[in-house]
This record gives sequence, structure tokens and C-alpha cells, in this order.
Amino acid sequence: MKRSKANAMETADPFTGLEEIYLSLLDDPRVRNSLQRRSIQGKFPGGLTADDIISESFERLVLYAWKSGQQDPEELLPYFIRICQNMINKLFNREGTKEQPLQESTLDKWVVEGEDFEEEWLGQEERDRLLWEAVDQLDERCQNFLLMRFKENLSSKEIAIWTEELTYKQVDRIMDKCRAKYRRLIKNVPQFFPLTQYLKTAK
Amino acid sequence: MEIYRHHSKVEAYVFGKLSQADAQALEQEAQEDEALRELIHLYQLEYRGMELLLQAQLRKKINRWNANRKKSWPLSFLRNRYMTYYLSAAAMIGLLFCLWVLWPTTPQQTQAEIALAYTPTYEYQVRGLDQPDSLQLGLQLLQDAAYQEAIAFFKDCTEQSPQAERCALLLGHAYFQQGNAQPSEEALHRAREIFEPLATQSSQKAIREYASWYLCLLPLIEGKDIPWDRLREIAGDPNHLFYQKSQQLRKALSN
Repeated sequence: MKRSKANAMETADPFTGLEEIYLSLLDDPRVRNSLQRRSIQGKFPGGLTADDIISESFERLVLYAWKSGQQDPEELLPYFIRICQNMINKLFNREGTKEQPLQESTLDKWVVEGEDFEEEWLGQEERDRLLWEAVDQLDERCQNFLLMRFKENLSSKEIAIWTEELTYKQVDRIMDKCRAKYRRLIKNVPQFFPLTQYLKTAK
Repeated sequence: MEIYRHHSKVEAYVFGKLSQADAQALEQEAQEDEALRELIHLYQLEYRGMELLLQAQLRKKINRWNANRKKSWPLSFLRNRYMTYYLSAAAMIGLLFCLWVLWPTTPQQTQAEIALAYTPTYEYQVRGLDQPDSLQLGLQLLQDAAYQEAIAFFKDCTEQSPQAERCALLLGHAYFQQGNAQPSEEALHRAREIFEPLATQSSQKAIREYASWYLCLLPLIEGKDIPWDRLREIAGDPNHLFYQKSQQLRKALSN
């Protein structure tokens, strides 16, 4: 079954529908109340505003949704609030400020205990920096193709429909080149993943 | 080359799409096989790199959304359904408040205002009484609301003029308009006393009725309750000059 151009475009864009979710979260009184309760007189350490925290938390939420496959904003709301709270805790710890005690609220039932999205791996920042350097060296077309491949799991035919210029064989060739280049660039990034460390040590 | 048969499985594993049993089997195998571990690591790096790319692109998008949101600030509120509810409720409350404030209502009159409203006017006195020329100056002063001068005029007049009864009545009227209940009452009583025996004559009857009407209104000026027996007496006499006024006053006070 041939996929239409509009359909392919929509599928290829990983940010379809995210703007509405983001804006609804930004104005959601439950999120605002949650942030307000954790703030000290409406302020956060480092001069950050509630909007800044929501923006950064939303980035993490999208990555989480990508992994978990969840799409419903109402389902994602408790995770989002949890991410916001973790970020605020981190800010308070970094600042050395005494955290505002959390008041009892109906919001607490949404917070899933044990779900922590903070990666406490020492080399994480360095690894991400090296990875980002590698990704940044790829040209824009490669970045888009790889993103479509990894994020949306699109086939070469679907990507070819999206580009409107290339055949699927050309897309295949470009994809192979991009991936080879990408792998070459990331080859020397050290192993900082907990899983590979675990597999290595468990041997 | 055997490692390449693992590619799709490793990809599924890193993407979190492998079943738990298969994932455990792969982990078991990876513990023994270094090449497989490296492959998993490579896929993880690829995956993480794409996450970072997605994150960077998302950040750009968020900045753009924030900028658009600031541009369309007043309307962006309406996108949120809760905000729409709150705004609707606030608009309703505001509307009700405006209606409450702007609703045309008759102001509540004080007793003194009621008394002054039912006081005979200058024209009314002219219609009821045949005023002699010598009183024209005093009447003019009353018309001009120069009550202090009018009081001085009518005081002299009460002692000297042959129309002492009318002067006393008008003196009472002037005091009444000033809000001085006590001197007004004295003057009006005097007007009544003088003309009680001569009440058969029409003009004197009118003066007596004027005086009784003033005396009926006087307590209102002082903030006291109206003498209902006196008001009933006037309201029960159809020939009384203030018959209709007394009826109206009864209604106004009973409301």
C-alpha cells in the first residue's frame, strides 16, 4: 500500500502534535500548582522561572514518551510532574537552599514512586558531549534520515516519498553512507552505559 | 560474520521492543560474547546520539513555540480549557456585579427628606392663602431660600404686623426649611393659638390647616416617628387642604 505524501510528511515529522501538548502543559493549572507548591515565594534557584522548568522537563518527557510509546497527554501528566519535581530538587540541592516542604495534596497520587528519570552516571555528560560533537558533524540530510530511521522506523521507500526527489535505492545508499559515517564518528566514544558496564563486569 | 545475525535483535533490544524472555537470553549471550557487547554498545550510542539530536531539535521547536505564544499572548490563554472556564466564570461574575451596581434603584429617602418633600411650596401657599402686599418681601426671601433673612423679617412681622398669624405661619415655615424644629414648632403653635377661635373664616381655616400639617411633619425633621394620630386626622378629612398629601405621605411611610 502506497503511503501518501501528506501522510509520509506527518509520520516523518517526530514533532507532530507536540506543540499542542506542550502548550496545554504550560497552561495546565495542575502543573502550575505543583510548581508553585515547590517554589519559595514563586521563585526557583538560579533565577529560573516556572516556564523554564516546564520547557526543560518537556524535553525529557518527549524522550520518555519516545521510549515508552505513550502518547496520551493525560497519561503523561504524572510523569511530567515527576520530572518537574526532580528538576526542582536538583536545583535546590545544587543551590544548597532548603527545599520548600511538600504539602499534602491530591497531586501526590499522580507521582509514580520509584520512577526516576535522572541518570546518575558519572561519565554521562562527557559521553553526551562527545556524541553531540559526532552528531553535529553530520549534514542536515543525514541527521533527518537517521532520525526518521531511528525515531519513526520509516523504511527507505517511505523516506523516498517524503523527500520527493530520491528513489528508495538512492535513499538506501545515502542511509548506508550516513550510518557508516555516524558509526565511524561515534566509534571512540567511551562506554559509559550502565548496561554495557554491567554486562562486562558480570562476565 | 555471525554477529550480523544479531543486528535486528540488538536493535529491537536497544529500542526496548524485545520481549523480556528474549532480552534476558540476549543479555546472557552478551555476557559470553564480547563482539555482541560491542554491538549493543554501538546501537546504544547510535540511539543516544539520536536522542540528543531529537532533544536539540525539540529545544529549537520549544523556543519557537514560546516565541509564538508570547506573540499571541491574549489568545493563547483560550487554548487551555480550564482558562476558558475561569474566564467565562469571571465574565459572568463581572456581569452580575455590573448589573447590581448599575441597576436603576430609587434612592432611600431619609425621614427629613420625606418631610421636606411634603412641605407646602411657596406656590401652594399662594394658592391657598390670599397674601397681602406687605408680606411680599418675606415671601420673596422664602422663594430665594434666604431663610435667615426671612426669619428676621417674619419675626418683626409677627410682633408688629396686623397679619401676625400669617407671619407666624411663614416664620414656622422658614424655621422648618432650615431644619430648626423647636422654634418652628413654637411659631406654628402660636399661629394655631391665635386663629383657633376664628377658624370659621376660610383664610384662617387655611392657616390652621397649614400649621397642623407643619406640626405633623416636624417630628420627621428631628428624626422622630411621625405623629400617626395627627396624620390620620388629616387623612380622614376630605376637606382638609392637605388631604391628598397626607394620603400620599401615609403610603410613602408605610413603604
